[in-house]
Amino acid sequence: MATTALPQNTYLHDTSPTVWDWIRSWLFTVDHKRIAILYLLSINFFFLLGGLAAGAVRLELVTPQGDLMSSDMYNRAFTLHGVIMVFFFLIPVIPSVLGNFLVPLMIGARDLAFPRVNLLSWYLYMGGGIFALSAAVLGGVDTGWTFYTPFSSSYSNSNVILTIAGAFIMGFSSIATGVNFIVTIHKMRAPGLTWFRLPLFIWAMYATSLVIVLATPVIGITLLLLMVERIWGVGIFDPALGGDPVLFQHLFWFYSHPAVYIMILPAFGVISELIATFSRKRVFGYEFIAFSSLAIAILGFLVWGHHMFVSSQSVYSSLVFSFISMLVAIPSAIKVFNWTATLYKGSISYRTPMLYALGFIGLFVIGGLTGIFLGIVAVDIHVTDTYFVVAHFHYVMVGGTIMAYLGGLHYWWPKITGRMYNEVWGSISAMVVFVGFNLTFFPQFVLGYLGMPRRYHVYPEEFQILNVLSTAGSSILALGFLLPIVYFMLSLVNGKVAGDNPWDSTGLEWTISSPPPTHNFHEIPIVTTEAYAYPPEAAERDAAAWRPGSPL
Amino acid sequence: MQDFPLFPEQASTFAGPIDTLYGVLIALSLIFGGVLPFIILFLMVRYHRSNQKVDRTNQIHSNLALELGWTIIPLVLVMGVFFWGAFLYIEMRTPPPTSLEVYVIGKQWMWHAQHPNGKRENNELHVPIGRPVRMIMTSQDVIHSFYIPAFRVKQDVVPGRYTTMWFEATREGEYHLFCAEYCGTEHSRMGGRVVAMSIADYERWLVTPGEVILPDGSAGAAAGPIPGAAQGDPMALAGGQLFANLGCAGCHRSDGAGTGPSLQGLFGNQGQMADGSTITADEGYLAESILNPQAKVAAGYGPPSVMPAYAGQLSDDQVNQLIAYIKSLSDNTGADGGQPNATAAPGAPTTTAASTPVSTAAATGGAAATPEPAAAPIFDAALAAPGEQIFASIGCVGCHRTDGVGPGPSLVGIYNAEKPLADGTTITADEAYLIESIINAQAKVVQGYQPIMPAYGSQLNQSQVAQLVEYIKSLGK
Repeated sequence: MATTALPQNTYLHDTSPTVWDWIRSWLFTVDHKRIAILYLLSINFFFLLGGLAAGAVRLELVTPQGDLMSSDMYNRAFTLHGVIMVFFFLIPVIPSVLGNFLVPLMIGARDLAFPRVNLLSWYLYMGGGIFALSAAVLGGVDTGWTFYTPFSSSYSNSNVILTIAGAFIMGFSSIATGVNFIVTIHKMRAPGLTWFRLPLFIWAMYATSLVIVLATPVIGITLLLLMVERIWGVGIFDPALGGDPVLFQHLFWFYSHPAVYIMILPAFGVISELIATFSRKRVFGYEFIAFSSLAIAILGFLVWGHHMFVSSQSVYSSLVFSFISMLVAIPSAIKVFNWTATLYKGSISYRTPMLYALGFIGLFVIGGLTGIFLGIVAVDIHVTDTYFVVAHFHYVMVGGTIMAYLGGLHYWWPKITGRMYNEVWGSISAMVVFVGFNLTFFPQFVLGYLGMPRRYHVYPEEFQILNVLSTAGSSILALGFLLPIVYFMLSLVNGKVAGDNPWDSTGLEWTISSPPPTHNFHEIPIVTTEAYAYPPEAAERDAAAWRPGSPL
Repeated sequence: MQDFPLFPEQASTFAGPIDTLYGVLIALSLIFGGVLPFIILFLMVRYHRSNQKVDRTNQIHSNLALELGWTIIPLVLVMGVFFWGAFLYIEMRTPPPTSLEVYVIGKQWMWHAQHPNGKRENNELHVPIGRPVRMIMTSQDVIHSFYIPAFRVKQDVVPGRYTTMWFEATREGEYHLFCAEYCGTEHSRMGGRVVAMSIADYERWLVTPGEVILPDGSAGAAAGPIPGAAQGDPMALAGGQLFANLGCAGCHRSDGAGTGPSLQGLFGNQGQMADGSTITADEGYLAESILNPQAKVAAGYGPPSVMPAYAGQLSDDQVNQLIAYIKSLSDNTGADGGQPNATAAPGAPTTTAASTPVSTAAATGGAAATPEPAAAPIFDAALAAPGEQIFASIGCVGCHRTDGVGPGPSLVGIYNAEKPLADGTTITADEAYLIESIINAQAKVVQGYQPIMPAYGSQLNQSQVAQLVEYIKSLGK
């Protein structure tokens, strides 16, 4: 039955008499869905800012000389790119946008456990963002997003304190979200929704939240200590003041390694959802995927020293960190194999979300495998602090997290807005992103092994060709990221009305209207089936119904 | 675009094994990263919803055997590469005892290297091929990283501590030297080149005049012989001179009877600290104890230690020289200074094959630094070197300071000089006079000095006295 009009009385509607009331209804909302929209807009803004900084970096690197900007400017550009992308985009994006919107819907709840804390977390995000923006506007910071001491504490003449304050405040936003999710998932599941009936996205958000809550306080304290040393000259990290510079690295990476799992675990959750829906069958190895998220969360706390193999860390420590780093790769591999097995005997469609999911698997495999290269100390000695590392983490963070985010955004766009995006443009932009991404970052693996260090403003001539290829790719990638903004906005005006369940997917979020009403469920559902409860013949029936001209 | 290299040149003994391991990792990755996407593409096409001919019945949603299989097989593979890499890594962190030692200091935004014979260079590193080289490195300010891609080696240099790495170059040539830890504005320009040369070329290079170091650690051009100084000194010799001039020998007597512990045999061995802990006396410990003696006080010598702190008074170069000297007092140097005297004696015959290249260079180093061909030495260098050690270790230098402000007269230029004595007569300070004054100082007291010098007749044997005399002669005419 086709729906031709958007439903009335959704969370997007309100009865505000004046514009000012309308603004207040958004800025003081406690509805998790509206907060997700607030996050969507602000996170997207920061993403564009970080992308601009990346553009500046790549443009400069077209030539071996430093002819576009001074070294100081360049150092501020790559630092801005890193700080914004890590703290203000990658860490919050999937939890705060998709997680906030979907967690209550997927478990049959009317909101998160602490709606006001949810709003607070957005204000904390914005507060942190304002500090970071101020630092950028007032001249930037040139320490690299890793803030290594004693350069950042005693030598840098840039806005270190402002930037650190921004990251510090954002940390509390992150913790608030994590606490909210843990409590919500424990206490607010609908009747009948046992742990092993949960969608894998919820398992992923749960594991992520555990990591957030345990790891983020460490970076908070570390940044605070850095501020104390920089402002009052208390010797903590600077040996000239009696401190230990390597201590900073241990404290910093103790958070920042689990942080990368905060970035990728939610992405894994999204992929599970996409693969299931667009194969029209249950995810293969449900329990293994669920437990692998927890395994990654735990092991992720034990490998931070693999960022420090040449830091003067002992041989013994390095070997232990290397060994555990090998282990942490295995649960990720298990997920990839299970997703592949899900495709078998499925009925696969090539809709945009699925294109992103398949692209994710390909790119994440490359990123993850190169992580193993880096985990082997003998090889890492040569490639650490080179473009090899840069390529590795962009494969997992962009090829991984961002692809999953875009796939999820396209998948749940009809639920969030009630409208379908233009499928042709969606597919095109997915392919543009895939091609642009590989052209940008694959040459960087070669550059790294050839010996080009990272954070280099100028470089020897012989590295130019690969740099030019990389910059060319980045222009294509940028196009791929900008296209969705255009067609998503257009869809709000003239996109096809989606209806409750345009993908014919299982999952509680698809049982209510698109967009959902403010209170989500008229009646709290009672769950009696497994997750992804496609009937055994669902795939068969879907294929049988296909006709030339049906969506691919 | 003739050649499109994927690997840097292989110019060290590590490069081949590391590239092989890397190649195997790539091969394994191609298998997984190639086969897996192929399987995915295959499944994507075969089971696309438009394909109505495939069998989609009897779907399976879990299979324990498959799960265990694709858990265990990757586990075995990663363990395999882990152990391979681990053994290679351990080798990379175990420098051979015959390594040539080069001291490196990194600072914003340049590299400074000092070879054992004293030759210094900035932003360049000359090394011999076929000989292991161990770099002993520190930073003066922020963290940098010493990276030679062609050798596949990299090591952070950290302020406040020493880090080491070693390699053995295999191919002559010039290679990139990069700083690989972001360190500020000129990070990308903080580099230079590594020049690997044959051992013969390297020895020749070592003794060509460049910058020479003077005993006070400063750099100078080879202008002319400076009384009391050895031109282009081996670091250990420069360190020995510092040890004397700064008065270290006054407390750190080699017979252990001084206020501070003897430093003989200290380096490389374990030491007991006053707080009960045990340390290994490595370069980092020595540097720390010079700059901040209160940090780790040896058992029986405090706390608090009475040793003054030298932080702020010595350049990093000077600290490195002192470390080289103290290492030469120990058998555990692990470097070419196997015997205490081997690096201290320009021209002294050496008995260790490993130290031959450097000592030979040092032998000519002293002479080559002077503009004109060296005049025939007026003293026996083979005896003067141990003589100098005695001069330092029994504390002569405490009174006979080269700047003349000690209780005893400076001995620079004393040999064969005319000296008025306290009793009004004048003597020529020939060998006999020197010998007598050592054995029985009260015999002929120099005018203006109190008769307080102890007699060493019963403490030193004839050959030791002869060595002291030769050393005093070496201080100039």
